[in-house]
Amino acid sequence: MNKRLKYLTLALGLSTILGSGSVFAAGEKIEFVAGMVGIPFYTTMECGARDAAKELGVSLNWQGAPQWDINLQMPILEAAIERSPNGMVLAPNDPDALITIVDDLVKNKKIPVVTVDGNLNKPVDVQNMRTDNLTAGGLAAEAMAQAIGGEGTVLIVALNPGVVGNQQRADGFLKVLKDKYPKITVLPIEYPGSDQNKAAEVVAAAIQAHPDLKGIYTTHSNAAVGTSSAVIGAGLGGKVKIIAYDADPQQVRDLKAGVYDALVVQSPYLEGYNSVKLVTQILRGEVDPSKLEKVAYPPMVVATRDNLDTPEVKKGLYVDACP
Amino acid sequence: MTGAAQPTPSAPSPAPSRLAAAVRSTPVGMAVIVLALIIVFGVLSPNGAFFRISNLSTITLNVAVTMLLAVGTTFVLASGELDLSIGSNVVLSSVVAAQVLVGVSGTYDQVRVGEYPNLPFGIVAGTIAGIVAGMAFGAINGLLVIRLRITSFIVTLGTMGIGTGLAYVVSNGLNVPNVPRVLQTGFGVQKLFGIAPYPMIVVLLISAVLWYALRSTRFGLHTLAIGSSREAAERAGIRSSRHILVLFILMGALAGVAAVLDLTRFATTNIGGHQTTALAAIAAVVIGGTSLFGGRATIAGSMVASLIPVVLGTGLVILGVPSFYQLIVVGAILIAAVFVDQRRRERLSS
Repeated sequence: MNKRLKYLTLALGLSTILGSGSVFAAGEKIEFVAGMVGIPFYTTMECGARDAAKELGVSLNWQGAPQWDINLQMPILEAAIERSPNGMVLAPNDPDALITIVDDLVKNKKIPVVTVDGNLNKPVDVQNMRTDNLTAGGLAAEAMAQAIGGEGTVLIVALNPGVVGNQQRADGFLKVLKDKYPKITVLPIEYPGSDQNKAAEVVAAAIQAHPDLKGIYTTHSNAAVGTSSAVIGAGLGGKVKIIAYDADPQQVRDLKAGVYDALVVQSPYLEGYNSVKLVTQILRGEVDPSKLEKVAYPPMVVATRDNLDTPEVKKGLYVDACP
Repeated sequence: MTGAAQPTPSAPSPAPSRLAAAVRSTPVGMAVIVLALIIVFGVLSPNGAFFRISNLSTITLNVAVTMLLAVGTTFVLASGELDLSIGSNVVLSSVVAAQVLVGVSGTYDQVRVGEYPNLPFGIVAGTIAGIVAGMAFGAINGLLVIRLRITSFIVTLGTMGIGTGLAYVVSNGLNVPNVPRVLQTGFGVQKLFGIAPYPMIVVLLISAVLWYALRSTRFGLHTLAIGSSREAAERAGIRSSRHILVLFILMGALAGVAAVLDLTRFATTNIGGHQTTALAAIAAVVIGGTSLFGGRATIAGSMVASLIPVVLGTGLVILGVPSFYQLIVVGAILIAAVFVDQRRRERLSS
């Protein structure tokens, strides 16, 4: 009987250890609700989050919808809450729709929520970690000005209206061009959504309408794919400069090959790593959430063919799968 | 239409003369509307930019995939069925095609640095794999429809999600990496004689064959007969279940071809994309004059109508219409085009 009990205890203990996925798991459960899955940006963020979880010994559940869509994210978020986690990281698909839920989690359920990538219009989370999109847009504008020699017509290919972060990438770009480069004309912003085909269509049309088009700034990777297809198709590869956002493996290769002229590199790895770390520290009482800055901006860089091999740029590039 | 002798109740009665019938037909009406749009945009656009050959040929490149899928959808609708899953079929087939293409073209260590020692073989294998995957997808749709006797609307609504999910599973949720860019520079955006985009040539060849098949073969006749009345067709000795299965496989094969064309066009898969593709194809088919309820179909109409959204999209950008207004104008013109065509046909036949 006694022996049996021992085995039972051992078996239970073993299954707990195996089930938690980490021998050192202290038991804190953190739910990570990604903005979407299937793109290297979020895969890189996942790598950062998993690395932090492994180092700190917390169990991490990573979930996300295949598209950036609040209607798809909502059930995933609700399921994550049902699993009664100790803490949560959330990349909100909408700045308004999730405020009530996050507020309830933080205030009433005492679950610290750190938001990443996107942000909420009301800072009910304990901290938001995101790319400073306005500054990033400004960096892209500087890269564009350099690529086209400070004058000419440029086009912005964005995502959908109402996606705040993405809009800021365009706004920051516009502001720097307006303030510093009066000789650059910017065409009305195009919003092809995440449809490559539509992006190719609007860029092909813009090339026809504006023979003096010298540069195109794309604020997300699907726009970049459609844009490059249209530019190459028009026989203007390398002549019309493309500044793209993000640094997927394929985009980095395309940068080397001359398809793109600069890439604005965000810091998804750091967002994943830092957010899981912060939630853990709050849960362990190492950080007082009331003393946190409301927003933290991880550093970012602009990659060009010239600086691609510097360690500073290299370590920021995105991955298809965790190393 | 050669179906006059068959017992197909809703087929239009033979017109007094072929010319009169043609003038009254929707394809001609839509062609007039497309031409009118092209002329309007050409005149209004700065320096006549819209009229440029390079612009018109790029429009055909942009419409190629939708047009191909619209041609296939014409057959499906003609038989009274519906396929909502073609977008996810395209995504799944493109993932399969890309993985086979990349896998056969070289080892992982070779392709990751951009070397493709077996590229020609890889392209052939990838193309075949993509088309076979599309056909398999279509066969599953068809089998579910005829064996379980569930309406194709529901079956393909279900397989739409299943196909997208499978594509994510197969690709591990990532666009297939290391697709050779030479697909794009050597074919996907290349134009024969600098005018005719290669993908468009492929689409036109396939469409021509299918146009003939619908118009002048027993296969086409049976399709329309089933769409008019499946019971009557059965009584006339047509094995409607088998025929419907074949139609879904045909649709799947075309989705596979579309997937390969898409892959060459963008040199990457697009696993998050093609969400409105099925709707765009079905819309083009219906606007072009095919009945949503079967029995009446026109490939030419589908092809012409699929041009409308792209002509509008391109023209409005060239005119510098802000993108918010583009959406409004495109929607309004679509409704107006169908209305004008309907009125015109009513007037002509009265």
